[in-house]
Amino acid sequence: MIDISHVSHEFVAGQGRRRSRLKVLDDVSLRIENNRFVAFLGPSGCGKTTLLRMLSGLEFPSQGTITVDGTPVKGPAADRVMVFQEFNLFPWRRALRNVQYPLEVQGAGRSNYVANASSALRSVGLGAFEQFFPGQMSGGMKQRVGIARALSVNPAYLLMDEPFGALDPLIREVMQVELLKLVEQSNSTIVFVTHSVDEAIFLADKIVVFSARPGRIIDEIEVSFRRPRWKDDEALKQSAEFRQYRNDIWRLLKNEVQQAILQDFSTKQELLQGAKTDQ
Amino acid sequence: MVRDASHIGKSSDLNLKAIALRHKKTLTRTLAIALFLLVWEGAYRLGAANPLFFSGPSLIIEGLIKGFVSGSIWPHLAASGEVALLGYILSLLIGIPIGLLIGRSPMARDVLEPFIMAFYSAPTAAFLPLLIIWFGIGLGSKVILVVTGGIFVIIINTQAGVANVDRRLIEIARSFMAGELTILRTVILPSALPFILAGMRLAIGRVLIMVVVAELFASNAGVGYLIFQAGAMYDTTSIFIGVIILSLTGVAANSALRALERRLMPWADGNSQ
Repeated sequence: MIDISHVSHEFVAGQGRRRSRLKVLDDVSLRIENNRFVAFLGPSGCGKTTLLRMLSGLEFPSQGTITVDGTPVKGPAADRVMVFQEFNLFPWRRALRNVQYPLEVQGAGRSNYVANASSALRSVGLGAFEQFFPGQMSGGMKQRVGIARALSVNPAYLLMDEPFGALDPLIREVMQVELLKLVEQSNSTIVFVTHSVDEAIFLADKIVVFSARPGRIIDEIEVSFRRPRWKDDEALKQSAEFRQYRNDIWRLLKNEVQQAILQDFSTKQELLQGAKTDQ
Repeated sequence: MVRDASHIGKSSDLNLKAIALRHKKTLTRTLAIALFLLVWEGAYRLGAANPLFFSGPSLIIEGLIKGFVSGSIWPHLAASGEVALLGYILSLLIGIPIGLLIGRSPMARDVLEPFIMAFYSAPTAAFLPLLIIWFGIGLGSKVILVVTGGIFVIIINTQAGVANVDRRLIEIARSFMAGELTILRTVILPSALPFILAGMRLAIGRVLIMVVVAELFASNAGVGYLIFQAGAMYDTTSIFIGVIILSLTGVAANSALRALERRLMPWADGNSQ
């Protein structure tokens, strides 16, 4: 179980008089039960990715605490793995060796990690591409390798940072179904950051809706579709219930998104001003 | 950026047209060299220059073959080869770790960078008299001079390679619980490899310069010594022989490193991560 308690976060940039602070998270408290699929949904810049990185131990909150299974997060751990939007594969490693990387680092025996990595690659449908370099693969294939790499260690917590954000919409829908196929039979707890309302409804058991910056939790919505969902994805997405969820969430998000657009604008203005006074 | 980009665009060898094009390239180059030698030989035979100051290709090639057949050139090649190889290998063995260190540790960089920049910018050949005073004219002073020629481009290129590593890849390694040494081995080194290899190629030329400089002043054998001796006796043919040996060595070492590069970095073709 992940327990996020009164977490706030500020980014500090520059020094001296130029020092500026940007508050990205404001008093966020949330409990994520085991075996659940939880989506973080919110406008860009609302701090949801920052929160995810805190869960992985790559970043630490300015205030508040995060515990996983009762232990405070002090850094990365073997049972919490990330999947990134930009795939972040090692370009010099072939697909198989990319997937076996975490096993290798964690000192699994060689025969062990090759077999595990190979079966993880097969599970994402890339059994025939073990010897391909990332540079020879499409975006969809790269992200499958990224997912196989994460699943190869059989993690208790799978932290996904907009994993399909860099893919085109058609591939994205296929990947959503494939992800469900993979994780609905596992017992990982999944935290999934996304901008897409539909993606959140289709995938998640619970959607945590964030405000514009600084991110606060506006609402937590339970999605009651039964699992496995991957078999009848079309019927589900066309159902009246699905539309109802979408309407409800949009009503919550509309103002926040508008605010985020203005924030984005004023941040850019500040940057421009800064650049001018620098000259 | 110090990195040489000339290996880019050499991918689709499978294609027939590319093979034809490549042969065309080789043919053009061969013809250009042949034409150059022909004009030179012609000019020499027609007496365009005083033979006291100049030599012709046929004489040079004849002298080169004679040198190899009679064996008189071998001791010089062995002497220079020893100095060059020792100096080059030491430059790598010391330079790469220093480059990695100052690339990873801002503290180490702040301490060492002023010295490195000073040496890198200075013509280190000027240290030779000092080295001779300290170490005599044996192997030691020559190898040290060669190292001062080769090591700094290695350090600076390695550092540039480390600075150029994608931070997100370091982060992913860290998220999988990789320690600093594992990150160095599995992320930093492979990522910096193209830069290190570019530095190794730049170092070849600098090492050869230093070998010649060292042998001009502190030697009784070697290709540099040969050139110096020939110069004192107005033996222009032998000067050219020495220069050509050095030049061919540089070209051969460069090609060998390029072959190594292709072997070590099979992912570099058409990579678009």
